[in-house]
Amino acid sequence: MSLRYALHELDYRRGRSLVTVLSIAVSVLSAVLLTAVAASYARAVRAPVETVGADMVVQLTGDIPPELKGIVFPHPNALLPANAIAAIAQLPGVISVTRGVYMWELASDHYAAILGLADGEAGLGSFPARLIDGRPLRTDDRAVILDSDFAAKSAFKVGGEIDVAGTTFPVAGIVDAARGGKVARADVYMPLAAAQRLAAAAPMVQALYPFRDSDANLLLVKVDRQHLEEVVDKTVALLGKKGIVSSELSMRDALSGVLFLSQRMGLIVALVIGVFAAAFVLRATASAVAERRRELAVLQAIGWPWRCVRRQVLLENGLLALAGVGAGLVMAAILVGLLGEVSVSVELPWDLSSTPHFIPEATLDRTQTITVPISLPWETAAIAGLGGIAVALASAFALARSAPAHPWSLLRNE
Amino acid sequence: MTDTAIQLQGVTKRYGELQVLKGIDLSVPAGRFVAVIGKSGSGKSTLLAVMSGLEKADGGDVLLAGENLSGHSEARMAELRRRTIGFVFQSFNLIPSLSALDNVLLPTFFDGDAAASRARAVSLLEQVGLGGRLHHRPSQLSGGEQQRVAIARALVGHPKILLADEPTGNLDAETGADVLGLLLDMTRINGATLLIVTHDLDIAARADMKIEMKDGRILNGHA
Ligand SMILES: Nc1ncnc2c1ncn2[C@@H]1O[C@H](COP(=O)(O)OP(=O)(O)OP(=O)(O)O)[C@@H](O)[C@H]1O
Ligand SMILES: [Mg+2]
Repeated sequence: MSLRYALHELDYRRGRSLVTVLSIAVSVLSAVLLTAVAASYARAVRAPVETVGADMVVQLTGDIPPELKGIVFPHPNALLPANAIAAIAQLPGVISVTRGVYMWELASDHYAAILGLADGEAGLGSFPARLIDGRPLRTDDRAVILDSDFAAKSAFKVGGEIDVAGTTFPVAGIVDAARGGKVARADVYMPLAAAQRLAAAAPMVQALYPFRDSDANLLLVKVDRQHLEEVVDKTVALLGKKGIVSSELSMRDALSGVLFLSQRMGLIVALVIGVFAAAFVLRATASAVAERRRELAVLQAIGWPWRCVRRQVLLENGLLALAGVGAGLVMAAILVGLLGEVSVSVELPWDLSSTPHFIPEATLDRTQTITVPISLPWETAAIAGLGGIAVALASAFALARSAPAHPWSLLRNE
Repeated sequence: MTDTAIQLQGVTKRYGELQVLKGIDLSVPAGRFVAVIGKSGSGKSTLLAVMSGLEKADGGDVLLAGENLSGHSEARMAELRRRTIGFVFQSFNLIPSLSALDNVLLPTFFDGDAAASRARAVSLLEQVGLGGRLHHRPSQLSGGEQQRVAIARALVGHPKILLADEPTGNLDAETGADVLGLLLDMTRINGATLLIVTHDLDIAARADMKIEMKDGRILNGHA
């Protein structure tokens, strides 16, 4: 009977019921949708650096060599001091450090970006997943892996050979250019030691840096995400003004113009909407209770204890909240399904994707388009749902907490 | 079971500065029809409120069917109203969102046997001549019909005492007479005590007992 009564009552005041349900639904919907989109953007921001298997890319700004000839270091890739590398590896939160050597080969008839990588998840270990032909590299290999675009342009094949700065390397494999991002992207990949030897022997490298065959000019660092901000700050401090430390944090600048940059911002907006909705629900409940004071007094007169009257008001609001939360979640699920994914284009900073701009055919498109699926954030959905119900019940409880002192005065004839 | 349905001893009630009841002594034997008359503002409705525990007396004792109300909790009072008292108001006070049947069933909400309650409610509505209007809302009923629903609702819990505050005040003379007749019949059938506050001297004339109030006092104890 009390459920029946509640349903009749809500139906009787259909207009207000609908508005209350809608306001709860809209706040649940916005909370869920905003966090869903924000979470996707957050993942998108992470993507460029993450695709190299790291959370932080460390470089150092250097100088332009006297002559652009043979093996040179791009100017964001100066020699990283060995003690700085050791210090970064020791930072709390750092999981692993993969050393690399990034360089250009500028020959009279061709150009190639060359990346030597140490072993490890962000290094040679990242190739097996991206190989479309051939085999991955071992640390002591004297072979190279080529980027598929580069290989296609110059008609290189697995089993063939390539000349890099006077040294001939067998082509062991080819990686898919489309897969993997544009950070730490090269035409020719080789084991670190081979790259170090090339750099140490290059006059235009030695003209600027005392690079030895144990040095590196690029670090791919895996960091415990909870410590990322701290590790980035400390690395910047370690390297000084010339350090270039890229992570999802620096990627956010590249994404400026996108409204919801952080999950936190999405939550704050949702919270504001939630507060307004809560105020609205409270007001709607207040006017419902006020309008029905006489009716509630009638219930008292015919023998309903106040706790039962209150339970009835709670039940009505609970039903409204359930309907609102349900509608909000369903709408959110539908919208998330319709949106499907978030797609952002990031113009990568030059130092993360350096190409010699003076060689037209080498000018790589530095725009990376990242597509991240939107998924329903269950946690937020649960919180928003429970929040909606809690607000509705709390306002009903607050307004019907105590029995009116003079129910009779409401029942007297007028 | 006592023979006295309602007993008041030295009951006082004030609203702020205004002393509305100034020491009421009253004893109503079970099964009687009592009319309470008096000028507007003399305290008739307040007397009903205090009797039913909807207002707390400031002083004195109220006994309903031998049970002293003083010190009863709100929940205990509600239970007493549910089991012992039925109310009929001048302005009907039906719940607008509920059908006639659901309105009558409202006080039985806490009783275990829903089927029995429903059967009783239907039978009461039939007795008041609304057997064909069970599922109509108050807005679909005339004033007289609404008051009949209210009478059925007042009787559904087998009350020993029926309190009616100007039950015909909002009805035209003919309808009022019908409703009053019905109220008297139904009270008699159910063996209850009926106390009606009224301005209608014809009604008062038909009562077993007449109480006239003036200025918060009872002028005459008995008729
Ligand atoms: N809740 C209240 N607060 C303040 N004064 C009240 C309250 N209830 C009743 N009164 C006052 O108490 C006095 C008696 O009121 P009551 O309703 O009992 O009179 P009544 O005899 O029923 O009058 P009527 O015939 O007009 O219904 C009136 O002066 C009224 O204004
Ligand atoms: Mg009155």
